[in-house]
Amino acid sequence: MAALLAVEAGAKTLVIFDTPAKPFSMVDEVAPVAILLTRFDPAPLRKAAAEITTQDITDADRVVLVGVAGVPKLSKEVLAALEGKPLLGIGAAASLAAGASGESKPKAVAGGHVVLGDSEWEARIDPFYASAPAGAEATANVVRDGKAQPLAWSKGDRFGFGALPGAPPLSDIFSDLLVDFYGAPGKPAAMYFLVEDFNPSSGSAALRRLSDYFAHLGVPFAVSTQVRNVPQGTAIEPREEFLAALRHAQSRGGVVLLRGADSAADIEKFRADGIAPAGFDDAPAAVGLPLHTGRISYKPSPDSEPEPFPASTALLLPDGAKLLPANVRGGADGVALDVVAERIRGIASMRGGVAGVVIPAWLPFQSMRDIADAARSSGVPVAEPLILSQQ
Amino acid sequence: MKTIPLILAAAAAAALPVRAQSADPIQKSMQFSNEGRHGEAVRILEEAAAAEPGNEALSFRLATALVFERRPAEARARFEQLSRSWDSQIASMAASSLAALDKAEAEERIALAAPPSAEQIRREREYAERKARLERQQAAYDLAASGSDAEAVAAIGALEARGEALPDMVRAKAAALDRLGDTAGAVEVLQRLCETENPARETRAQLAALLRREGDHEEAFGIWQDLRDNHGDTDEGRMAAREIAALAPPLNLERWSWGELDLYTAYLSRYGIGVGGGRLRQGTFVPGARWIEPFVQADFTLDSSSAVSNQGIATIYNENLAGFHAGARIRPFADQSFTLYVLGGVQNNLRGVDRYPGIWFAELVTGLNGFWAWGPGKEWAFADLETESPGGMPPLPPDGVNWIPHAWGPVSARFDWFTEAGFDASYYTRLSDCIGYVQARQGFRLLQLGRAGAVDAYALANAAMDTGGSYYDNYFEGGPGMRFVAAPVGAAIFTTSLDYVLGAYLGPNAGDSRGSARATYSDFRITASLSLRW
Repeated sequence: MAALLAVEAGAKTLVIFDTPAKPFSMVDEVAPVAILLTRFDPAPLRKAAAEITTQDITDADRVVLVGVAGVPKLSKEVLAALEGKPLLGIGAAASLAAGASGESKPKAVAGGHVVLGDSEWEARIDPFYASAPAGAEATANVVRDGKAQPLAWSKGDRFGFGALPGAPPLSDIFSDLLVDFYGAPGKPAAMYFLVEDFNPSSGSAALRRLSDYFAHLGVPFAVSTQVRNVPQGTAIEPREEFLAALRHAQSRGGVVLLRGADSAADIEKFRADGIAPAGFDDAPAAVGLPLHTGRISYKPSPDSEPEPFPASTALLLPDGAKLLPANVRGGADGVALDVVAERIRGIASMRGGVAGVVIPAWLPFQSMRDIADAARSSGVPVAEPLILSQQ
Repeated sequence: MKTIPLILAAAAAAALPVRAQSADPIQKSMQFSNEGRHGEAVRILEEAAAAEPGNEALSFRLATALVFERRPAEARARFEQLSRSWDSQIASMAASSLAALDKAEAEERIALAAPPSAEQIRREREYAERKARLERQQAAYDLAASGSDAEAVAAIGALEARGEALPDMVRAKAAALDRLGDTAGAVEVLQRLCETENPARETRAQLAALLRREGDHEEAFGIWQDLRDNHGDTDEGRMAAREIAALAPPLNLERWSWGELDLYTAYLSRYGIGVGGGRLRQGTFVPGARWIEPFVQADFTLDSSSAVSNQGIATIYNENLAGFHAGARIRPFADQSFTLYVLGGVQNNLRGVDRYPGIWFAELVTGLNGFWAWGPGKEWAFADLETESPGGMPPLPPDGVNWIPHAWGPVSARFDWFTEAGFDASYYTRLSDCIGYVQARQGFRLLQLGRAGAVDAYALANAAMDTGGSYYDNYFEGGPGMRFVAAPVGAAIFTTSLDYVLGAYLGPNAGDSRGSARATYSDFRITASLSLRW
């Protein structure tokens, strides 16, 4: 089955949903699913159940059914067309993938644990649909009072996820199930370091020392940079010192990324000064360089501001490039040092999980080193960002 | 940042344009809804929807708020209208909400038609009890937050009697008792809480701080040790490690040695001479009686000239002695610098002045000594530590001698007052004399340079007396002064001061040794001193 399902170039995934939001809510529950699918399909097609035709099913390689408020209502012809197509049911629609005629009754699971392999998270799951058919193989379970119920399961070319994967850990477990759904080869988890937003007001001494430290350890890293206007009163370094620090980072095994830049002119500005940008940070629409890091933004509801989505794997961009997630942030506006290693290990429990450890460039060296040491204590192998993005 | 068309729900966003001015009402209404104030959320959304009748997202939010405000008819009307929207997403969302509304209303009708079951009655009773309990707890929290300490203590006490007080409440009660001056009561409350199974780290840290202030150093130290050793990764564990690291050696029960180095040199304009002195002392504690601190020391005093010829007087200041001593000091109050001491040893005059022959001789010194300081100006400010570790705990100091360089920034002006007073009174067998002095400074810390430097200005007053009647040991002097205190690395403190004093010799002139010196004097002094503790 793995060979049959193996992800192929140009795979077309059709996402069918009953309604985007739960009753009395405007939170888009389908958008996170669509984002997570971009791990294997750069442009999944999203359609409401009422608009689906048999042709849509015929054109698709895989079908994902999302039941937000109930099972999506599909015509008999459409249901018939689904036969033989790899099908993944999510939420209330998991029962449809399981072959049940009706919808399983949802319940909220509070104070339970979600177990994926050797990893375990405490999580509140609302709603939870117990939907796995007999003989299904569970990749993750919900455990409460010592009783385990499949949360993510597969049986042949049918896959089910009994909750809505809006945020970690559910979104991570859902993403792990996609490895089977797309028949993708299993990849080991990895992490990479990103020194974020080095600019003329950051101070170059800390970057130089961190570069030396990483070189001493033989640890590769990326540093994202930009030349930008700084607030009045902020001390900025002379241009030559700023650029020299970047060249120093490069000479110590660091790859330089342009943060927020999206034009060839930005690349040339740096190249003229002996700095060879290898990619972009927080600019997923930029083209011309192979490496992308950062976060995907989306609108949780139609009238809200965009928010970053917490991805734990590399995602495909529309042009086929990969976006490495920047998902473990240290420093004052990030997670506490004690939590860094735990967060990385959680991400690494997923097949192909990628932990992007963000070290803000404005931190003093000691704090930078603390973050790096805390991350390395997780035991997850550190990857060279450029190689990681090409795997 | 550009975004991916599919995953940004761009279609929905384009179909449901929301003007900038509607962001505020939405935020406000969401805040009210989260607080359960649905009526206010409805009012805000009604106003916004009236201003933007074509905004279906606003209309949807209003319909939802109406459901929670229990105005189903109005909500239904809006949902029905939205379910006919040309936008398929908003239509399906409205249809799904309508179906949920139908289902909820049907369930409510069935429930109202049937007499309440025993289970329902039980649930309602439990709900009422829970609600009343939560209200009582909230009232206690509100009292504590408003600073009504006496009332908060009473309210939490009542909750404790009912078995309804949560650990954080009991901690709040202890804090309130402490603020009311009943620290012993606060300690008792926390000790009782700590007797429960798995007491929270916060409780133990709070208890240790109070015990320390109450003078029960041993129990406080035990708590800090446990927090540091077994919960080192937590805030409380790191705080405990800092508390232990900051303890003076007598209070740090893990320490069995201590050391001191003091050096000074000064120029005295009234004599036109330079003087200096120093002492290196290494000590320990007596097991079971840590208040006794045995030590050995090497010491010296020096001056540039022991004879001030223009005034016709002999040695008037330092005796140019160097020696080795052993002794012990007794510290009756572990957290104070007051000590009684006795030391004996051998000394020799190394510069061949007339007063002592150039041979080693034995001597004994015994006396008492103390130094105190008060006021915010005696402390370093913590601004610099925050810059070292933004948003987090300050870095932990290493064990043993601390040689970590301190930052010289940020530079900030301070006008914090301080008062210092110190004294020493001793009997010296070599002089057969008992000499005592008192020193006091009152002033302001004017400037701070990170954790590495500070500038103080002060008024000083010194007095000395002896039983032998030497005129130069009986004086009073006072005047203004300034000093620069530098702590460039670890615990080393280097002080440079500039003082000007007016003084008077007070009577005795044993042996008529004053020569032509006048009874009053003025003196301009420059002093440099180094102090190191380990």
